[in-house]
Amino acid sequence: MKLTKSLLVGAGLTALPTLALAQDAAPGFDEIGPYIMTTLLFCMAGFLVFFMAAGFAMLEGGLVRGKNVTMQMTKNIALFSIAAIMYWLIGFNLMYPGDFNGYVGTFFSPTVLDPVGVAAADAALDYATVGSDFFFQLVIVAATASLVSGAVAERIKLWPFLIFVVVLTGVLYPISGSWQWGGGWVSELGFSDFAGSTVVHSVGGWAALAGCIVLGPRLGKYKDGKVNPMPGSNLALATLGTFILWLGWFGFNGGSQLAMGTVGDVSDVSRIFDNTNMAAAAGAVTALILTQILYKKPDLTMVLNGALAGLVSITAEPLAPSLLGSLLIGGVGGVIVVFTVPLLDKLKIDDVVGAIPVHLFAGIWGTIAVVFSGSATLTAQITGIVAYGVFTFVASLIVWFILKAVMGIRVSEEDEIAGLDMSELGMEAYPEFSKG
Amino acid sequence: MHMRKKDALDSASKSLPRTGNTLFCPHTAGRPANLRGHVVKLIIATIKPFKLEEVREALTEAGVRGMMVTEIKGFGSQSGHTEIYRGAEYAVNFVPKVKIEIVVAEAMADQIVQTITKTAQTGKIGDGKIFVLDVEQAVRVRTGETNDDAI
Repeated sequence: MKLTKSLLVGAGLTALPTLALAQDAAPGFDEIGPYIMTTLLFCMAGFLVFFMAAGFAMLEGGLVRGKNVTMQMTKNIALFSIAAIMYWLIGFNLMYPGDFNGYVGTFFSPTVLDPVGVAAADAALDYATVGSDFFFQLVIVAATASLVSGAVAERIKLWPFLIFVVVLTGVLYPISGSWQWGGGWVSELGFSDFAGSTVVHSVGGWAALAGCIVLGPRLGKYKDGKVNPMPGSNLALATLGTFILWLGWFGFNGGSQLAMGTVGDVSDVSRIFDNTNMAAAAGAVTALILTQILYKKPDLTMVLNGALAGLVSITAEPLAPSLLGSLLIGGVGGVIVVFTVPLLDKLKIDDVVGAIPVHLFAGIWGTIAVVFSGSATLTAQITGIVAYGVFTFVASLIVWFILKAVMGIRVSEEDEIAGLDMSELGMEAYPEFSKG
Repeated sequence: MHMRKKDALDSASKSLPRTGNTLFCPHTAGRPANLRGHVVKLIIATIKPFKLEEVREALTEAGVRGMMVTEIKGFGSQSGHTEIYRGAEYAVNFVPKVKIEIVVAEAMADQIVQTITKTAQTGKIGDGKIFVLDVEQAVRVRTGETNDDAI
């Protein structure tokens, strides 16, 4: 992934000196073609990644119990909308500060779009429109927040969660994101994370892990040393959500090429699509076979998680590997999910949808797997993983603890048993269904 | 009502006397005697869900004209089993069953019980149970007919 967002209007001007002088001569496709194509890539990829918000909503809505579905949907639409506002207000320019000290950029510099009908001479012709770049980055930050909502489902209060989303999308994610994609200190170490196995997925995973620890497990989940599963309300929705996420991932990884103006770039984008697809398929098949062997019956929810873990695994380097390489990388992601979901249960960390195994553990694996394609050194990758882990986990813990002390983050026992839909919202997702 | 139930128990399959104090019931008092009908029985059967269609066909052939069916969960000597969800084994304490409720004329009851036993049987644990109860009164809402006239 390219390191810095380029807003260098000056660069555009110097690249096209004749344009500035002779206004009657419209620039040819050679001059503006790459700019238009890259902008289109950002728009197309951005729309796909936007749809991942629906994917997360459906996945989570299907994996929580029927009495918490309205709450899960409310959290999902609210968190996306909050992320959109916070990323405009603070996040975008904090994450891509241009020249900065490498650790923290400028706070509170709301995003400004290109002027209406911007002239070619004033546009960043070596990159893309500000609007498309901003949009693409915005929908990606929303994914980080979405995955947290799944992990802490079925027991968290609405407003403390949304306040956490404000901090995560406005401050935490942009600060750590700038270390890599803003051209900060981690990128200077040689850390490589093409589309965000660490920068996006592990960051969300660490925030989710901190949340699950501070919140505690759902009532009755771990009783007398035994795990008491709470099966999801609608596996058809969970499957739909997974397919939507899979689709959205083509945008997530493909768009992260950040350029589509040359033969090489457009070929790379399609290479990324195929590798991404292969890793997802490998993750799903691995989980299917493994659960059959381990539990005598395939577990659909694990297969869904396996596909997603494959996707997260390939996200750090979706370009360089061959299709066989992608299959192996994604397959290991599937293995990780099947073995770490029960592991979290052993630790009494109650992650309702498997967000931590999928996004954090597979994200770490994907980041390490970059080493195999020679895009980075193991030292750089480990340093990056640790840096993101320590910063996000500690900062998230602090935010969760403050929220817990100030307003409480967990609903009462009675409300939790009744379900958050009625106790927090007074509205059931399936009011005409009998309670099973 | 209670008097009448007792009567029904005592008199087995014989038809009930249609007059006299023993039959007085506030709900049926004043109705024409010819609407009262013969006593009926309630048969409650719990069966394996996949047997429902077979049982329904057999009962229809045996002359049963209506039934109530409910999806239920419960346990008997089968007493649940274990499943695995996301790597964690858990006990399914209540097994899904289908409950059939049929109201039939007393004379038909034994035959119906036999039909259900024959069709719902797999020979494996969890085939279900059948209970036969006396019905104090049956009324057809549309006409007000009672007992076996009502079914």
